[in-house]
Amino acid sequence: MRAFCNRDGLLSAFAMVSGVVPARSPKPILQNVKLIVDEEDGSVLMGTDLEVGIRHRVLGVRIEQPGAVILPTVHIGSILRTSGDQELEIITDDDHLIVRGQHAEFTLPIEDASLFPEVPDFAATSYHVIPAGNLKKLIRRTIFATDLESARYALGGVLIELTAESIAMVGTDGRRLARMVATAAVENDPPAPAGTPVIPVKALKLIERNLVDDEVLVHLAIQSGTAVLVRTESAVIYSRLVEGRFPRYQDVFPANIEVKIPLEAGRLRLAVEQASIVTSDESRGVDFQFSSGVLKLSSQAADVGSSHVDLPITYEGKPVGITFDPRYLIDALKTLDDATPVTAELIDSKNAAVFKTTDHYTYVVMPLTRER
Amino acid sequence: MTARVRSTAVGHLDADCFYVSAERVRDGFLRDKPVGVLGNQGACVIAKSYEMKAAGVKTGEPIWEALVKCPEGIYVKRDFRWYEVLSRRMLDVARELSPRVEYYSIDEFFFQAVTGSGQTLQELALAIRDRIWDRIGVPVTVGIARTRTLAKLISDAAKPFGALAVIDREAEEKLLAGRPVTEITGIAGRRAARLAPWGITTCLDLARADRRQVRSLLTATGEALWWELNGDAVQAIHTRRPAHKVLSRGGSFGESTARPVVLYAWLVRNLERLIEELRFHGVTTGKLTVAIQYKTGHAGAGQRALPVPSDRFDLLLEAARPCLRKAWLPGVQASHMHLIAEDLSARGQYALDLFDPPQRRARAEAVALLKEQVNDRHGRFALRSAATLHLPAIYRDVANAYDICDIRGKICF
Repeated sequence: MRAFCNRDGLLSAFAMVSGVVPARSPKPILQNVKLIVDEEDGSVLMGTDLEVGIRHRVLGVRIEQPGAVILPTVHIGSILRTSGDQELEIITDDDHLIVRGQHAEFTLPIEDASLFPEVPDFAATSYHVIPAGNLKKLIRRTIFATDLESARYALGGVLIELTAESIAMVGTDGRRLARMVATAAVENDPPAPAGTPVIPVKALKLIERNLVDDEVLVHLAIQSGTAVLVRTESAVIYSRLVEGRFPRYQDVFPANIEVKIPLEAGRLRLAVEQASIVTSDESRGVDFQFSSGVLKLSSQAADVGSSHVDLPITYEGKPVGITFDPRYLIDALKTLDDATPVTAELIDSKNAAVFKTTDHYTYVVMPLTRER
Repeated sequence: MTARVRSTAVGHLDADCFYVSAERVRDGFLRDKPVGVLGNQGACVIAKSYEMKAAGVKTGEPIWEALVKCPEGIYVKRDFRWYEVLSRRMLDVARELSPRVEYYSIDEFFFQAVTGSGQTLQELALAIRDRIWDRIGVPVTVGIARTRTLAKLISDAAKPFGALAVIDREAEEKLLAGRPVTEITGIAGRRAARLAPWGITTCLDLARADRRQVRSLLTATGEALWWELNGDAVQAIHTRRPAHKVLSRGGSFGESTARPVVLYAWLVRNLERLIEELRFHGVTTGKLTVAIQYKTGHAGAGQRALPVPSDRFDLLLEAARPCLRKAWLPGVQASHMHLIAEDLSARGQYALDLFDPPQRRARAEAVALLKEQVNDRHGRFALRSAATLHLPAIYRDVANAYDICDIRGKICF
């Protein structure tokens, strides 16, 4: 194989792919990435940990002799970052991989490229189509609510629900639940996936990093109920789905809402952040007192102190008090633009509270309680 | 040696072969005879009298080996409830004579040594020792020095039934020169091996070593010991135990087992004991670990995070079951099991679980409350899970109803 690679093009693909590469693996070849250079199909850099994989297009490759090569992640990363060359020559012979710039040359041991596991390409003919901006929003607004350590349910990822007009994602850790629905379209009427497909957090982070231009359309397909494939402008991401059962989340949305309170995301976040300054591990809660015209936030922690924060609100109704772990609210509010209108739907201090936005985002959070 | 120039110092009180002494308090027949106290299921000698020590019996030795070395010995099963009773009486006496007492372990206290008018520290040491002997009948040794570390070394040197105050540097150095560095609490084999190449083998060698070198060899812990050996008290007396970061229950099975049903019974027994402890301390756990040791030397462990920190039996058992499955080596004889609760949080404020139906929650909490009330009234384990019925011998033997780890408030195990 012999190719001349534009350093910036290779570096940007490498930055995406190397995130998947495991630092340690019982299969050492997985600690590397694989570069394929081909005139017809284009050049691709790929990496996988066998759970998640990525094929990323490499731009600016001049091919002298097509082929494939295993690139050791640590060394290639350092070479690409420190090189001042615009173009790097990559050559292989029977024994070595040589990376050559104008003033530097690196000879590295070579591995058999055919031993690198195949990273599936996007072969689906029927799939969902969604603007990158929407998919990014779906991921950002749900991924933080997951629980990687859950043993009871498959909460280490985000549940994806597909219809002909929309894609919904749901993330929960058992104490709060985030659900977002975004408009989508379908190509060739994809079949409804079996079971409850849950995409692991690692794959979602990778997908999100690859969504650069909000307007570009992204293709998404669930493969045989066991894997998800996402095709972006420059990459195909593959991931096995999380095994296990996702809880029946529909039951957590409270019925009989007593009050609806209009709020604004940014101002609410700042007030909650202020009130949470004076909390401790032993006393984490912030008390929310909603009353006509004002939300009073207060917290008190032994040996730390107390805080009182007032937030003017446009609410005229009966007073409601509830205690939240402020971290749960801040996590969700951080994903919203400051000017986003939010409606808080409450029953009382013991039942789940629901926060909704007009763009189909719903966040359910359990209050803190002192009962025992 | 017993100077009047210093009126306050640190004292260390250590009961002499405490478990044996406690048995002798309630049975005078055991006085002056070789006595061994046996541990779980009577398998090992966990404490011995000086007479039995003279016959060559070591702590931790199996009963069958001890019987060969000391056939005339009298072997009794441990009774931690009784030992706690005496331990707390000793604590009360120590508190009469000192404003600050640390309940370090069941048979060791540190205290602030404050002399009365005209009293020397030596007289104070004698007074504490003799008052405990007169009132309770347990022989103790008391050491008083400028620091905790020195006080403990002094009481170790003065055993048995000693009382010694050493305050001036010359006497301290004489004592330190004769004690190997491994006698300092916190310096065992590996740390001693790090010191040996530098010629540091005695306590005095360590005291005279360069402070920075000691820090580089033994980290900040070692440096603290260096200050203490040189008479600068840097280790405080804790009159209250700091909050637990981890709570654990478990131990040896006595008789090893490979039967899954028996392992599960132990899991449930240890879980019920762990929940008692969580509730006593007013905390819930966010992470549970089940660790098993096997006769082959292998070990297995499983860990689960809980959706919401909890002290509820049903939720903790739900988390513990897969941990046991992960820790289990089928067909291999298991000898020990421990349940470890981490990520402890105060029970005061907690978030409910979205997927824990309120009816189930209410039922589980009602059962927990009932269990607690019945056991408070009728005795520990009066009401317990049916899974523990596979351990009839354990529950039949009252010696198993109370363990050393059930004695609360002490700093050290």
